[in-house]
Amino acid sequence: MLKNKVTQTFTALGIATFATLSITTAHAGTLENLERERAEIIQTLLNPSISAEQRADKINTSKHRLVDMERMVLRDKTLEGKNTPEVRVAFQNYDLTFLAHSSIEKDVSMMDLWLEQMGITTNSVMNAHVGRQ
Amino acid sequence: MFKTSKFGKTLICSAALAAIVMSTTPATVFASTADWAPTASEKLVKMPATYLKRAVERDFASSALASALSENTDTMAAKKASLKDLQEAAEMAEGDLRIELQHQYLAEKKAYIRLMGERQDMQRKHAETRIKFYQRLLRKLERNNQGTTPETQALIQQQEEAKQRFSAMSDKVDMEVFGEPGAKRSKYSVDYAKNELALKQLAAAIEGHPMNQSAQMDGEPISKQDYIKRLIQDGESEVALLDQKDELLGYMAKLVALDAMALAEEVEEIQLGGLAESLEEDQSPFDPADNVDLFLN
Repeated sequence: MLKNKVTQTFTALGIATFATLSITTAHAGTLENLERERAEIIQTLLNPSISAEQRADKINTSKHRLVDMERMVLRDKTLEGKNTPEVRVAFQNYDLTFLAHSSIEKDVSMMDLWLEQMGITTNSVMNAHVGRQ
Repeated sequence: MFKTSKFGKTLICSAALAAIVMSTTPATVFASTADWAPTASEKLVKMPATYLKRAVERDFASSALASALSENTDTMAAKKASLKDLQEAAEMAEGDLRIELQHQYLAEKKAYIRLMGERQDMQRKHAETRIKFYQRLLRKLERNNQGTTPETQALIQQQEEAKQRFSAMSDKVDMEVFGEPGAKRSKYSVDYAKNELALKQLAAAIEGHPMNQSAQMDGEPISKQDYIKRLIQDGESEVALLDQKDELLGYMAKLVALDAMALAEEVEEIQLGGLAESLEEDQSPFDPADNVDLFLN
């Protein structure tokens, strides 16, 4: 009788555990947070009203946060196979989405990498000329 | 006119009944009403393969069908013991008592066959329900796996590649971003590393846990689908064996019917023999040769 009760309790517990493990924890908006942070960094990179030193300081501080957020996105299980336009676009271009990791991987600055991904290279800038279309 | 005794009539009826039993499948005649209805829930789909089988067995154990099967086992054990006693008693008895015991022995045999039929009926229900349940589970599992479109599969592929690139660069990024003198690791980074270590220890414990052992076939680990397919095959083999056992029961019933007919004939012979003897005895005082005195005055 007692044995049955114990078995039933543990069976229920086992099922509940499996059910809990199978439900992936929802991290709301890891990708949105990353995009927001990345937008701020790009804004800083392109801001003509701050000095180069100020820019370097700001980027250095933001880079730590950006690295964390990129990791949160890459570790976010709720995004696995989540076929939405935002997730699809984010993973279509690793270099652009995970700017901090990719720039360190390629040994280039975030600015250079972003410009390169946007199709703006030193040559293209040098070859550009002012003209009327 | 020859009058069949009440006892002789009973035996003839037994023979007739046994003949009816012989001509029909016992499992169909004595269908049990006890049931078992397992459900292929999402929880079961997600469970490890080895745990799945145990969960199904546990579900069956608490069903009305399992109770009926267990009750049948007890009844059959008691019936088997009484059959043995009756057989021994019939062998030792003589005269009318022997006939009576043989009659009881045949009746008990018939009841035992009925019980075996009921048992097989329940076993068949168990095996067939199990097969249907595993088939439903397999379909569900295959549906879940087929749920990814080519677009989603491409996304999963991209996500895998991103993770690989990230993992390969993780240490380098740590050194670059947090390795500078005076650089402080972020709270997320520190806590994540701590939790990651704890998770790895727990995952190792889960990996080595006996209840989490993956299903194996001939010593090789197999997928959940293959494991369920094997369970379905096992169930189908069981049903095939039950078909063969049904045939066995048919033969047993036929033997009981033949025994009953033989016993009925034996009783008839005894009765006919007695009548012939009494006729012979009755005839002797009326023999013409013996009654000549009546006419010689």
